[in-house]
Amino acid sequence: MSVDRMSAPTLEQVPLRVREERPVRVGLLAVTGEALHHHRRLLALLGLGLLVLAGPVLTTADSVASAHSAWSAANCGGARLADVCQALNLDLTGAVLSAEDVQLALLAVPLLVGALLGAPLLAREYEQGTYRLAWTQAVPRGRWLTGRLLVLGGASVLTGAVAALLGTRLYLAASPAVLRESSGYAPLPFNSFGPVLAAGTVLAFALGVLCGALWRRTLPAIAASVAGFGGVALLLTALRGDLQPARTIFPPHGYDLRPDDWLMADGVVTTDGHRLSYAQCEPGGCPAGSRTFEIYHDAGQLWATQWTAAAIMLALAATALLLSYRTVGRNRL
Amino acid sequence: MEFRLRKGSGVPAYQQIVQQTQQALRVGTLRLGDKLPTAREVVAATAVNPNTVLRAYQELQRAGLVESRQGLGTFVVRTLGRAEGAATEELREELDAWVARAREHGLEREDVLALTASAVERLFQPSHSGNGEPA
Amino acid sequence: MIPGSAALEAVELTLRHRRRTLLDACSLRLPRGAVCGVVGPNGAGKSLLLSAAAGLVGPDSGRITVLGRPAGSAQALPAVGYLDQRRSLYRRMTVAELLATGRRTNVRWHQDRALELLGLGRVPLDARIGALSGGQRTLAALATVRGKAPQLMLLDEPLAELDPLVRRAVLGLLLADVADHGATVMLSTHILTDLDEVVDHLVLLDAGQVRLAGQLSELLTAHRFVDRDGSSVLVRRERPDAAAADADGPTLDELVVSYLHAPGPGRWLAPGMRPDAPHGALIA
Repeated sequence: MSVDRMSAPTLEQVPLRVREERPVRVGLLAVTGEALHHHRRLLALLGLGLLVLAGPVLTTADSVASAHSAWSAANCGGARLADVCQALNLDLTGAVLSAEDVQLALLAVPLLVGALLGAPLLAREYEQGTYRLAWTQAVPRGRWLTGRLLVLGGASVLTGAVAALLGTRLYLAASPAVLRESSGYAPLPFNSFGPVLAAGTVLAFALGVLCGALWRRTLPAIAASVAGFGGVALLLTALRGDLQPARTIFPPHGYDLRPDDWLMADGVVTTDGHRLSYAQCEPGGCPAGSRTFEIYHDAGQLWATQWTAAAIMLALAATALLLSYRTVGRNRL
Repeated sequence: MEFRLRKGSGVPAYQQIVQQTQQALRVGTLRLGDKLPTAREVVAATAVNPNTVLRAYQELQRAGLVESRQGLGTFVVRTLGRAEGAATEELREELDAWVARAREHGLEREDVLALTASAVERLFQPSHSGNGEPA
Repeated sequence: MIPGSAALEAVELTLRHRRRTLLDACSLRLPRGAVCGVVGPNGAGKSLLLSAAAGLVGPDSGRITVLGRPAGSAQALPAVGYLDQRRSLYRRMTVAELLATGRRTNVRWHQDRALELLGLGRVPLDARIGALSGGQRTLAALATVRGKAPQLMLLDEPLAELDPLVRRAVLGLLLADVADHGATVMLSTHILTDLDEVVDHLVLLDAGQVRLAGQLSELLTAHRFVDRDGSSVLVRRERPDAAAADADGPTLDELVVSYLHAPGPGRWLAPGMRPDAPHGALIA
């Protein structure tokens, strides 16, 4: 047998020159820079996408604005039924309809941000196993995630803000509304401008990140985040009437609201104080002596409603990001 | 000098290093004052455990052939060469020529080694001459 | 790092996944400067042990520290290099970009060391990772490990997919780091001959348990074959007798195979690899 085993070489024989670790770390700035570099192509693509989006939004807004001002200038309100007014009316309706198409495109912005920036952020790392590389360098994974969130989350905020500004331009082009469809309270416009669109984009991103952390596969994460964001948006749209207190008026001459106001309920108040909807009035007519009432959201409340919805979405987004940190930190198999 | 270590040859790597150093000292490739390759160099070239190299060098030092100088390296302090100079040179040239001929005749490396080993074995028996170094 | 601490210390490290216990109360202590082979059949837990040391999977119970710090902690990460079995790299990056990423995400970066490794396989720097061969990809991944000049290298099957010449050159470089900087290497393999003359420590895993761990010489001198009822049986001596370890001592192969085939779970943690913790010294 070999002599190799008879006298064991001990480790002390190796001249150990152990280099002691300096307490140095890779700072957040460097980590963010790395994230920026890593996602530079995606960010460029995003910028390009925004440019492509801006074109049609701005031209549509211009055509809506000119149709709208032409209609206003012709003073076609009231009962004027001139041919001119019919033509202008047609123009305005057409412009508002084409604005709706563009608004639909704006609604897609959060979904795309969630699917392209949010969901893959973690899911792709897990799916392709690259988290093993990324999280075994000198950067702890929490800081790694912060860097990625600063870059991609920042890009989402910017994208959301730009989309919201574009949407707001489109919304204001038809304001004050002459058609109920272009009122800011209507479901489609409500979600396509202002704080709601910006915060919605951020929420979709955050939900995407969380779904990626949970599902660890890109496609399921995209599907889950789209479904999740869609659900929240639909719920908030359904509840938008409850976000601000409604007002009640008793107009002496019946219907008294502008198209920008949002009528929630109307009917009559009987002399003994009961409120009846018009449908509840007997076929013979409403009881004598009753006054009409209208419960509505004033056009001036629109921004407060928008901000309230946006705040809820931002709170949800923050929660989703916190949960993402926790999920990433739990190093389960 | 360079060590050529064969893993799985049955001879532990550290012994191969010792033997090859002795051989180099014998044929004169290593001379008095020469520096042995550092452990790092041997390790990088041969992929053996660093301890193995250090152990071989310690063995050589114990045998009084080399000396380790702190921070400088390991140096040859005694050679094993018997005949120095022209005689050795001449013998080596003859051997080179012989090996070349053997190869021309189609002998493999192993054949040549076996032939020379058996010749050495026969001619260096203790009765023949008393100056064989312990292997 | 904490001076004097072990390169790696696991105490009762247990990892479960869906009610299956993948690492079962593993305890071991690896001194600094060691070159340790992790062997065992497929599914024994070799990869898991390494990724736990890298901090990628956390223990369900027990603990694991590297260089005196919890595995995966901010203090441990800069000094630990990890090569995963699948060589997970960003496929769309070029090799040069991969190294640049390594430089940006580490405290120290030695481009020369990384390039030296890539040179062994003539890996082109401008090639996309996805276009590399398996062996080249391994070299690229190893280059990121070596570039950060870690004090502890955790290498999961580092030699698989490398051709024999490159294999030796790679091992040479890694071992040179041990000689140069006192780095510690822990490498898994299921080919025992890979370890010949390379490792000085061995950990044998089987079904998530440490069956055998210790300094190689310690392990080999502690066992001998004896004749029992006409067949040769490997026995362990609690007091190794170096002088008697010649003719009837086992080879590395024989030792590993004997432990894997032993009736009943034979386990032995050589004194040199027992953790300091009071409940760490488990000898079955």
